[in-house]
Amino acid sequence: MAKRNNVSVVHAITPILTMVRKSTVLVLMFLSLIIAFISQSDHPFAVGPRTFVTDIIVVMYDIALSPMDNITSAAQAISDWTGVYEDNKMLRENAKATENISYRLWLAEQENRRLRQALEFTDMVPFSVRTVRMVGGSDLFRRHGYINLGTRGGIEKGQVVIDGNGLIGRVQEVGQLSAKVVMISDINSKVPVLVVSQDTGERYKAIIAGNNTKFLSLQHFPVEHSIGIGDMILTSGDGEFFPPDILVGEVARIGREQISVEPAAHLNVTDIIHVIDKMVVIPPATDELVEQ
Amino acid sequence: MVQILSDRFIRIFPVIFLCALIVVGGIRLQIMEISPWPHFMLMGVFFWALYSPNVLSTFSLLWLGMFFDMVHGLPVGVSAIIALLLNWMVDSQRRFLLKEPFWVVWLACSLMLTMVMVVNYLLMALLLSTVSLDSHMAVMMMLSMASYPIFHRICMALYFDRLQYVTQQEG
Repeated sequence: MAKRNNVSVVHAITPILTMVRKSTVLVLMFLSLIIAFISQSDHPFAVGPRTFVTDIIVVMYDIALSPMDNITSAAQAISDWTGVYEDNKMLRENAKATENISYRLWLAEQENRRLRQALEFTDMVPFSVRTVRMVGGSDLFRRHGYINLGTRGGIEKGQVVIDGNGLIGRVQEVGQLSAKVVMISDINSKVPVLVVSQDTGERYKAIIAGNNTKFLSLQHFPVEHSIGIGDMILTSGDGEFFPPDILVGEVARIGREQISVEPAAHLNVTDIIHVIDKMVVIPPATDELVEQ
Repeated sequence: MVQILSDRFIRIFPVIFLCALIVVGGIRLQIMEISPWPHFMLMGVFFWALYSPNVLSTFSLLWLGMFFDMVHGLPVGVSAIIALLLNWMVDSQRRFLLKEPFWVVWLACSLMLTMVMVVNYLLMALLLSTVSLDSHMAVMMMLSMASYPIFHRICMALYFDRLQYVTQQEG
């Protein structure tokens, strides 16, 4: 009798449990959607947990990748040692070749200083950089990465990130131990630039926009222009987000209405990058400086 | 005591295993512009939803999805939705799939992954108000489909005892 009662209770409860389970899934999916919308905001409620988790993950990556660094540097050391004779020979030849170039550079620098003095020209140049590691990858919709330094390392929102070749992007979000870098190839990235024509030497103001592909798109350039393939693109310094004269890339393709630019930096492939720490104002040159 | 600990470990193993794979999937490989990893989380959800559905609870899926989004810098919650959706899809076809040979399971996995990744794409486009077309999603989908048999074998090998226990219970 008791067994029959138990069986009937189980039969009665099972559909209810199934319904509850199904509704839980629906409720959780709806809840996830709400969280997804909230997480898009820059409210501290959303940013705090996000940066906290990122901090942990970036530290984990950093620890996990350090043995690989050691292996790579050991391999590099062996490789350097085996090629030391050849390197020495090549360096001697290079040194001879650059003697003349360095003298010409010195002359150009002196001339530049005199011209700056004549124009009372004030400029800003990158003063110091921090070398950091980039971890984490990009996806279909975003082009970003994380660096292993945060507020504790003196990183601030808006700082500019470069590699040995050119501009990478800007720090968008900072945690205590990590920061998120949005690359110039991200669809939301816009950088004011100058296009320097190789043929005419003319400079055109324009905007470089990311489009989530490996090429950047040049926008808002003059209708009449002499832009050609291979022309250099530099940051213009307008808008005060990016300092001037950082190499962005070069013109790769020219269409009827669209100009594609190949980034100079190895976006997404580079892992050791530099965060521009401080900009310094170069005052107009004085006679003393020129003499020095 | 050892048995209790062992049982508990078996219960939480899939979550730990998938968390580790999610972290691995976030590593940048310096050979391509975009990290060429398969979608480990969805493959794992498919595997455990099919062979041991009680191990990954709906709340575990929610946390796993959110963890995935945080690691990859996506809007938190999107992957939780697709993980829950995939779990529901597998659950609805489970009785059929368990009786079928492996190639049918593989085919079903490929179809379901494609469907949830399309949903993922639409959700992301809606949330970010952008439409982006490049080969990344296709590469990820193809890799996930191609590597599922290997993933399946590894999970079977790691989880075999537990799996045997579950199938015996359910049989």
